Amino acid sequence: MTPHSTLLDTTSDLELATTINTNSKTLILCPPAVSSRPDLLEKSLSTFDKSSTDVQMLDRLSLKVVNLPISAYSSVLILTDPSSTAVSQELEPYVLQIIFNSMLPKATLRSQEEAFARGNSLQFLVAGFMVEKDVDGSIILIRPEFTGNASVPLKVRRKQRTDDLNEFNTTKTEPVAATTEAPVIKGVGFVLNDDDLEDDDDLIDEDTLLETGDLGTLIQPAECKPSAGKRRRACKDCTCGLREELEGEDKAKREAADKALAAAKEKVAAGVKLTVNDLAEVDFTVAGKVSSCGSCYLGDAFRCAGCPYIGLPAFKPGEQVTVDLDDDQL
Amino acid sequence: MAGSLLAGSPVLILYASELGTAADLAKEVAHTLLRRRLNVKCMEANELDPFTSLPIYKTIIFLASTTGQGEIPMNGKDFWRKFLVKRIPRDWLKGVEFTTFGCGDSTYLKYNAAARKIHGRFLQLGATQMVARGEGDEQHSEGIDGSFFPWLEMLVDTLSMKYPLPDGVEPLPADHLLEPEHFVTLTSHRKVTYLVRDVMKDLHVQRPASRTCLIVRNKRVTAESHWQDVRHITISVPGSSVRWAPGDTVTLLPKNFPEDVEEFLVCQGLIDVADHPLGFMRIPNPAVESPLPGRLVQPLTLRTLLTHHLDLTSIPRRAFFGMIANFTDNKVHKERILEFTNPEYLDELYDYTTRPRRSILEVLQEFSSVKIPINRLIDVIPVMRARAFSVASSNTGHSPGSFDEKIDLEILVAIVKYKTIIKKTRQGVCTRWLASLKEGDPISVVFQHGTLVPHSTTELYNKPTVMIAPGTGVAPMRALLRERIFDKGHYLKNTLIFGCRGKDTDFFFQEEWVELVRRDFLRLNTAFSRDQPAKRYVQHVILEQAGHLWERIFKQGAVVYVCGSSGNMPIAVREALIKVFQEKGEWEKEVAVAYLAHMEKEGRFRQETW
Repeated sequence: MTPHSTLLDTTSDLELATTINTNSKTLILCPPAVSSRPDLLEKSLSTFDKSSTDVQMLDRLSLKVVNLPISAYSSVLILTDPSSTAVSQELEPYVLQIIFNSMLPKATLRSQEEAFARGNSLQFLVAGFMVEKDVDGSIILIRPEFTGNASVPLKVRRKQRTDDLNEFNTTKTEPVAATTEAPVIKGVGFVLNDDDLEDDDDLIDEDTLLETGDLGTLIQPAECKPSAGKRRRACKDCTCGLREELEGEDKAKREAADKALAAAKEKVAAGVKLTVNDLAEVDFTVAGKVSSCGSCYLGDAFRCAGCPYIGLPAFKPGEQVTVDLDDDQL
Repeated sequence: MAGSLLAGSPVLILYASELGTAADLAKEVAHTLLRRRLNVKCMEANELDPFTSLPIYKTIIFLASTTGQGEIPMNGKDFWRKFLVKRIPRDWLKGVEFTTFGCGDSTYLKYNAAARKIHGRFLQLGATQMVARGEGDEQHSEGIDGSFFPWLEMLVDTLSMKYPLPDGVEPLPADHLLEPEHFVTLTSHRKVTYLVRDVMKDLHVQRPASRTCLIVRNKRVTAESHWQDVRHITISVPGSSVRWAPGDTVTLLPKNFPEDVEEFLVCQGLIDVADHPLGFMRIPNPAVESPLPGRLVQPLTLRTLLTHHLDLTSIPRRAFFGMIANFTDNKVHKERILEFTNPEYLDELYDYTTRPRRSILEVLQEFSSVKIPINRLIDVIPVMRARAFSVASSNTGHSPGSFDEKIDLEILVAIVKYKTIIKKTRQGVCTRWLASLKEGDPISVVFQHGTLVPHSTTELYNKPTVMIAPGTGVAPMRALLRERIFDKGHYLKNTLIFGCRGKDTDFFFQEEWVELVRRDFLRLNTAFSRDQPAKRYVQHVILEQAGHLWERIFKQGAVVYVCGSSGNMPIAVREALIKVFQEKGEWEKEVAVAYLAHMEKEGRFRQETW
C-alpha cells in the first residue's frame, strides 16, 4: 500500500548539486496525473535527498488509504499536475489538515504551481497556515511555531468549541481566529443578511457534516437474528431463506384452506351456486359444516391458525357469503 | 390542546418528507406526545423560518427521509439552506435539546444521509442531543417501524422523565381520541350535480404545478405468458409547456376504483349521503399542520373525497386501531381492536395487517360494527400519496414549440400484483389504476426534477457512462441514452448492462437497443436470469466485463449509474464492482472499497433504486 517504494526506485546516479534541506525530512505530494509521468517525478525528486524524502499520492490521502506521520517534515512540496492547473485549489480541508499536522513548526509548504494560493488563501488560513510571499513572488505556507501541541486531534471536539471554524470541518486550530465570522446579533433570532443565501459559498458544505462531523449517537436497530419472545420476520433483502420459509408457510396454509373449503363445498353441494361472474358461493349456514370454534364468521382477526376460512371475508351467521374463487396465476 | 402541561414553548416536530412517510411518522410522534399531555407543534420544515423561530423552541424533533443522491427532500430544502448559513454562530442553539429520525434504505451508499446531516448540524450549532438518533431502514424485517418504535419509546420515556405528570394525572390512553386538526362535514341536504361524466376519470386533484395530459398508449411490454405485467405508458404533453431532463420523475396521484369507494360507503352506512356537498374545516392554530396534498377536489363529496384523497387500500398502522376502537359498540370487536393497539400483541397485528397486506377497507368490512363519523374520516384514513416514476423519454431535442405540438412523456411501470394468505389477489393502488387507463384518458402529472443524472452542461455528464439497469430500472437510462446520443452527440462510450428474466419475456426496448448497438452507439451486455439453468444477474455480467469496466471507469473516469429495484441488486452490484477494482487494480479490498466511496463522493457513482 505504500506507493513510494516503487516510485522512489530511481537510479542512483542522481546529481545532488541542488539538494535542499539535507538534514531534515521532505514530503513530496503528487497529484494522480504525475504518477503517469515518471519523468516529471524523477526530475523533481532529483533535487532532493532520497534518504530523507517521502513521496505520497494526493488521491491516496484524500481516499484515506494512507495517513501521514505527525510533525515529521520540515518542507512539503506539491508537484504540479501536468493535465490540470488547479490542484492546490482542490485540496480538501481534510487533506490540508493532515498535511498541516505532518509538518514541523516553521516547516514550509510550497507548490510547483504558479498560481498556488494566490487567489483564495482562506482555506489555508483556516487550516492553520501562515501565508507568506517568497522572494520570487510565489506563495509559501508556513506552519506557525505557536500552535503548541504537536498533534492536533482530527475529531471535532464539541465541548471545547468556542469560536470554531467548522464550516471547513478542520480541527480546532488556534492561529486563525474568526477570520470568516462577521459580527452577528446573538439572542433568539439570528439576523440574516440578504446576501447570506445568495450563493453556495455562504453555506457550509453539507458533505463535511457526514465526513468529519459529529453525528451523535444512534439507537442500533435490532439485527436480523431471532430474539427471545419475538418472532422472526424476513428482511426486505432477506438472504437467509426466512422469506422463502414464511412465504412457503403462507402458501401451504392457503392451499390447505382451499382444500378444506373445497371439501366443505362438496358436502354442501346443494348450497353451491355458480354466478355469472364465475363466483362460487358457500353456504355457511348448513349445520355442522362451518366451524368448531364458533368465531370463524367474525373474520381473520378472530380465526385460529388452520381455519379453512382464513383469508376470506367475515360473514354473518346465517348469511350467504360470496367468495371469489377466481385465482390469478401469479 | 386540552390537558397540556408543559409550560413554556411547545415541543417542535419538523419533517422533510419526499412521499409522505416521514410526515406520517411526524404526526405519529406528535400524537404520542399529545397523549403524554405535552404541548406540541408539528409542521413541514419549510414552514418554519429558522432565523426568526428556531431557538424559541427548547425541544426539537426532526424527521427526514433522504432523496436523490443523499439530499434533503424538497419540503425541507428552504429550511435546510438557511440552516447551513456559515454566519450562524456556533452557540446559536445552545440550550436547545433535539433528536432526529431518518427514513432510509440501507441499500443506498448515502443511507439516511439527510437525517445524519441534520443531526450533525444541530450538534455543530451547539444543540444538545436529548435522545440518540433513530435510523429507519426499509430493508429491516419490520420496515421503518423496526427502528421507529424503539426510538419513539425512548423519546417518550426521556420527555416523560423531564416533564413528569403531576400525581393523579395519567397519560391519555392509546384509544383516546385527540381533537382533529381538520375535518369535513356535510353542508347541505341536497345532492350535488357532478358536471363530469366520471368522478374518477374526469376529476383531478390540483397539486402544485400539476398539469392534465392525455394517455396516448398503454401497452403491455411483457409476454402474455409471463407472470409480470409491465406497461409502457405514453402520455402526450403539450409541447410548449414543459421541459424535462433524464433522471427527472413524474409524480402521479392514484385514484381509488368506484367499486372500492362504493364498498366503503356501504360498509360505513354512508351511501345515502355519498353525493352531498362537504365543507372542509380547519381548527385555528392546530398542533399538527398537515395539509392535504394540493387543493381538495371539487365538487367535494364523500364520493370524490374517497376516490381522490383517502387511501382506502393502504395497510392500517397501529394508531388506526386506537382510533377506530372509539367508533364501535360491539364489545367483541372493540376488545380485539384494542388488543391490536397493545405493543404486546405486535406480532398478531403484524400477522393480521402487514404480512397478508390487509387493507383498511378490508379491516373495516371485517369489523363491520365500526362506523367512522364523517368528521373523523380524514383523520383516521391516511391521505393518498403521489408516486414517482422515472421518465423514460427525452425531450431536450425539442425547441419550445406551439401549444398544439405534443411531446411524448413515457414511463415504464411494473404492475404490482401478488398473493398472500388472503384469498383475494393484492394489487398496488397506483399501478392497478395505471393499468386501467386507456387511450384518451386524462391524467394529471407533476414533473419533478431528479438528481440521478447530472446536468448536461457539467463535466460529469460528458464523461463516458456505464449504466447498470435491470428491469424497469432501464427507464431513466433510456432517457439518458437518447439524450446523450441524439441531442448531445455522445455516440461513443455508452455501456448498458441490462438484466431481466428472459430474452423473450421482459427484454424491454429490445429493438431500440439492437439498433443502437448496430450503429455502434451502445455497448450492451445482458443477463437473462432464467434463460439457462444457473441464474445469471447483472453482477455476473459486471465480473465478466471486468476489463472493459476497468478501462471505462478507472482509466476514462466513467460515471456509473445503478437503477432498478432496491434490495439485493444494488448491494450485489457494488460488491461486483469492488471485485473488478481489486482484480484489475491489483488493490487490497479496502482500497477498492475506498475507491468506490471516492467515486460516489465525486458523483461518479449514482444510484436510484426503489
